[in-house]
Amino acid sequence: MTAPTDDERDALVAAFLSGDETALESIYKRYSALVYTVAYRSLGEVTEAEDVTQKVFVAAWTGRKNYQPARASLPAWLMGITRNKIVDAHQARSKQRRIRTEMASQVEPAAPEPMDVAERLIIAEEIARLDKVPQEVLRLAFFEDLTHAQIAERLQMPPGTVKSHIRRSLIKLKRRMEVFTDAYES
Amino acid sequence: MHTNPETLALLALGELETMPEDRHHIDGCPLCQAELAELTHVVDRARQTTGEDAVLHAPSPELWDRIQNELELSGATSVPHQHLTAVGAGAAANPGRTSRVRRTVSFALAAAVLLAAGVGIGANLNKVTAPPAASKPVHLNALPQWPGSGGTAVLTTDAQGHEVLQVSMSSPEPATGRREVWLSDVDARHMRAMGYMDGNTGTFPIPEGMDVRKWPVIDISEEPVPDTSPAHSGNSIVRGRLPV
Repeated sequence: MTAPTDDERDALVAAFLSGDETALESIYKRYSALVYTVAYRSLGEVTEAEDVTQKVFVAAWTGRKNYQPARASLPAWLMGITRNKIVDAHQARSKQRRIRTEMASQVEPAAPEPMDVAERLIIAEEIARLDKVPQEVLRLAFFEDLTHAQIAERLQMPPGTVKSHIRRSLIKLKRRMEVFTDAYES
Repeated sequence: MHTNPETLALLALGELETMPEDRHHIDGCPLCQAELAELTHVVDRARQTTGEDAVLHAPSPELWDRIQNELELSGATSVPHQHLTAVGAGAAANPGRTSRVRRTVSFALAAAVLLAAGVGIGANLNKVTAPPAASKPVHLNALPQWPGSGGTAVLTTDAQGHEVLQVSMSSPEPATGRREVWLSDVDARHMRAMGYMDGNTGTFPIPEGMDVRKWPVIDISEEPVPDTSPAHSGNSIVRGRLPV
């Protein structure tokens, strides 16, 4: 299996828009873990996270006519729906809580913003997918706060090579993140 | 001329003091400003990631059935029984050597963070609960870098009434090390080593006081020989989730 090409992606989107149920299944296979993990991390509860995941894919299917491929990638569109469903779940929860406690002033502790969680998951995955050397370079730059000169010394590599690894990797991370979040940003 | 992209990357990392000529250019150039802002955002997010972010969790396999039912889809087609799938594994699966290395690193990162946080194994032990009855056997799914591997696990009780985990697995790849069974919580934040497989099977007693419902994720790893580190090698072969 190889990475889906643009053509494959377009074909999947076309099948999805035309109401092909197997396209929905493919989309579910590809993105349900991301949707579910974002929901779980934001809601902290398995059942609610599964409910959100179910709602997202049901809404994607019933609302597929609203999806405009020119405006957002499919995963970005799904992440937008995911975010809305998570916000709904938090609201339902605090409403429940208000009813129970009759204390309208009581606010839920701040939950992580779903898109922040999604971005972290996507970036962590993309870092893990980098080749060994650029991955090590980024790790030293991100988490050990080394300068490119210090990294060059540590890895016995010309500073120019380190710089170009950093630039290329950052751009990869940026592009990957954009695929999933551009609809939301706009 | 626009600011050198490598300079922008280093600025995003907070490394360089801005040269006056770069600052002057960026201040007046919406393109360079936007690029720098986006790269800085990537760096900020990356620095916020933790080991927890390196693992995605799949919803239970039944969820797809629920969705099909709610939508009244025609085909009860094959259920995607993937557990803990990586983002890229679905979106852009690239099995093979490099993929294995990368995946290993990301899981190792999770393990490293776990150790750094000083989480003692068993720190989460709660009060003893009644052991659940024998569970349905669950399928253990291959990680993308171990195509063709699989297994099953079942939670049951032995003749003395003690809870045991029975595991079997197979892999087309010959074992280069020992295969070790782990249970982890749904966050994969905490892992417990259950023991080594005996060939393709293994039976592991659940320790007294361990509430297996809090440790539903089962993972089999390939460990080096000699296995000098008590931690997970980061090289997972199959995973699944006990229905507890």
